[in-house]
Amino acid sequence: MNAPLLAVDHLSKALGEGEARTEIIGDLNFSVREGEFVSIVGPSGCGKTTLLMCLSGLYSPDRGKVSVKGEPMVGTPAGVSIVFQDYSRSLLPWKNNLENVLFGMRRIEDMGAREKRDAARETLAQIGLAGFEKHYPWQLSGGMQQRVAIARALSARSELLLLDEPLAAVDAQTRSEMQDLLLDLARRFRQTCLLVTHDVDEAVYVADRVVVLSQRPTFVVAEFDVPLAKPRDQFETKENPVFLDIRHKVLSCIRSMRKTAAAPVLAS
Amino acid sequence: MKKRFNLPGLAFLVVLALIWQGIAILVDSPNFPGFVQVIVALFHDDTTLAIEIGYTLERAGIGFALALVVMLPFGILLGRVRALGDLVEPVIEFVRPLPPIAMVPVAMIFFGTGDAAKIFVVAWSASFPILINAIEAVRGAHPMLSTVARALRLSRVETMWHIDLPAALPQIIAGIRLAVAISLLIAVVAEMLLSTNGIGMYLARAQERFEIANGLAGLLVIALGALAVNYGVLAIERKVLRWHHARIGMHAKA
Amino acid sequence: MIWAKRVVSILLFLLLWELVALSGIVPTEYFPTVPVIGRALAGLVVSLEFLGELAVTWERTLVGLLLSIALGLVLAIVAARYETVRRMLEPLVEMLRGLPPPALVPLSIFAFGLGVKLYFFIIIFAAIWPVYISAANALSAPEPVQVLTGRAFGCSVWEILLRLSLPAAMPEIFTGIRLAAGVALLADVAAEMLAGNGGLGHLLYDAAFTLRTADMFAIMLVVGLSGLILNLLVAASRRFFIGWHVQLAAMGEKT
Ligand SMILES: Nc1ncnc2c1ncn2[C@@H]1O[C@H](COP(=O)(O)OP(=O)(O)O)[C@@H](O)[C@H]1O
Ligand SMILES: [Mg+2]
Repeated sequence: MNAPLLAVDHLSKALGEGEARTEIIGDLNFSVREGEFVSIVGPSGCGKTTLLMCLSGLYSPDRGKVSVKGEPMVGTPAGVSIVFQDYSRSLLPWKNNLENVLFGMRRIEDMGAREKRDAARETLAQIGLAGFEKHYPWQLSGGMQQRVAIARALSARSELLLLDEPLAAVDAQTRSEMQDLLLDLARRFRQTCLLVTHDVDEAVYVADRVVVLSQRPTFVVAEFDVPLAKPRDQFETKENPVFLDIRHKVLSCIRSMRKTAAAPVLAS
Repeated sequence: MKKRFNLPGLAFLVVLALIWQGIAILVDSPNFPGFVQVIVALFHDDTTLAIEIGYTLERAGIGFALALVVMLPFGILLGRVRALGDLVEPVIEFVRPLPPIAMVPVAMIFFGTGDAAKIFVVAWSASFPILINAIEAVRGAHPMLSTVARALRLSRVETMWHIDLPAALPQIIAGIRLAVAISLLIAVVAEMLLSTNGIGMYLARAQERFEIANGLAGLLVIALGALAVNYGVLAIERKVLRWHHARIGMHAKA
Repeated sequence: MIWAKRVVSILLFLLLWELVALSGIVPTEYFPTVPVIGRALAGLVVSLEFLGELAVTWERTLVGLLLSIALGLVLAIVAARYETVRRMLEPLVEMLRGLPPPALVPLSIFAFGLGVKLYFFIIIFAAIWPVYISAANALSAPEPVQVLTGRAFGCSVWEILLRLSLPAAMPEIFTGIRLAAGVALLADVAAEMLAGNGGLGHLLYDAAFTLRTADMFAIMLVVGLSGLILNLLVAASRRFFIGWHVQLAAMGEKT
């Protein structure tokens, strides 16, 4: 049997210096197979961003290990790319949108400069930003900036795409459009995706599998497969009994967790 | 922020001094004095140097004080009374690009080569940072503040004193700091051009007499003087701004 | 509108000057009328000799300024890369920065003679600090998300410094460069007044000491205009190099 694309094995991570050092990730185990779309839900501040930092190699784990295709991770592997939660600031303001996307392709070696430009233009077009190549990111709305950030990560041709709450800051309308866009892109680029969110509906709607995280120090509470057909539809899928059932399970899982967390407080 | 003792910085200075001394020993020429010779010259000439830097600091101080007393109220006025500001500002912009040193000849013609000429040049040079920062600081004040002033029925002068000055204080102080540095600089240069005493003159004379060690000692004194003045201004600034912040904090609580 | 105001204001200033000059409060030899200064200026501007001196000052200032920018940037980049270097330079910079550059002229004449090296040295000594300090500050405090982005896309530490932090720091660096330009001209004119050997500063000093006041004011006007033009040059190169930031700032002002 093939090794999964991403394997997280007893991962643990603390942040901060000296007295203030706190364990953020307790003991985390899960894996992502090639071609899968996995979403991770967890309460705010439970360490989702910290986890993605570990998965992209930006933080090194204190204990446990992260492997990509069975190989333990070294540095920031080209096989993993990330869309930061603070996407707006992660775009380089002195580069126009095309150049920002090209920045994502800097580690691709088997393409010439021209080819890269064409590919970057193509990616921007696919994400709905044709005609905005020469604009600067700060001339676009938040939702459009998010698309540039996603285009930059996609164009890196990584095996795994990490998305940190990409839709938390956009309005409801844009959010559902972007969910469908993400699904569409994942299919067209055959992109394995790991999406972090605190929105349960979103987590279930886009994913093949949902991983639920606990409060800090975080561990995996439960995993749910989402056996819903693709392509999905905002109305049909969200009214589908299977969707509702999984949504219910995830929600009650989170609620029971909150109760156990709150219990000692109530008792005292 | 706690200020750590800067060991690498100090060590670097010491190493530079040692290298300098080493080269001086190798070159072995009166035209290339080492660090030690400069320190010797410094202590040999210590009373003269103290007196000369005293003259310089006095001129810089008087010139700066003049600029402050005249330009601070003027700047606040120009910032406050829009029409007047609009009229005068282009003139300021017109004369500002003149390097202050270029005023030395003018001062010489009108005031001769005495103290007045040098003080005038210092005052002229120190005026711009004070004036421009004062205008901008008052203009940039929150519009809410002038509404408050009107609601409280403050007079123009009261408004300037109670509202404009405190609100504009941080930027005004930035201008004043710049002015202090410029005052010292211009005082030295003015002395070099038209003086019979002062540290600037001391430098010029050291050159004429080929006394390089003395010249370097003079430079060292200026650098230390500038450092001391700078720390003094910083200390005053911290005091003034603390009063300012505390006041604002108090009002916020009340 | 704004230009009309400016013109009116300058005209009023000249009128005031003329009135003072004509009133005789100050002897007219010392305080020439506007037309007299104008004629002096016209006389200078058509003289090849004067234009030559003007070119000398401009060449010294521009080359000196460019050298200061280059050196200041290199130093700042090294200081941003190695924290120890930054701390090592701190007290030295603090001390040297307090020295009035013209005060170095007498001793520098020993070291460099009266040639072009003297002027470059004085200008660099004056203009390097604003560049170094603004660049070192901006480069040592990069936007954390930008650094993470660089690392995530495989940039080395040097690449992050040179290709991300440096362009991001350019707006702040240009503030330093603007200051440096003013200081460079000032230092050069001062050095020319002190050391002689040509340039506007030398001419100015000469005119003053021979009591040719109309010439003196005319030369001062030229020096002032040179400062203005230098400022415009810096502004133009700012638009050229960091046009994105100019636009971004303009956008912020509108909202
Ligand atoms: N550098 C740090 N030092 C100490 N604590 C940190 C640091 N960065 C984040 N934290 C804490 O770690 C927790 C998890 O942060 P994060 O991973 O950003 O959560 P999430 O993305 O799930 O909202 C938060 O409570 C935050 O306060
Ligand atoms: Mg987060």
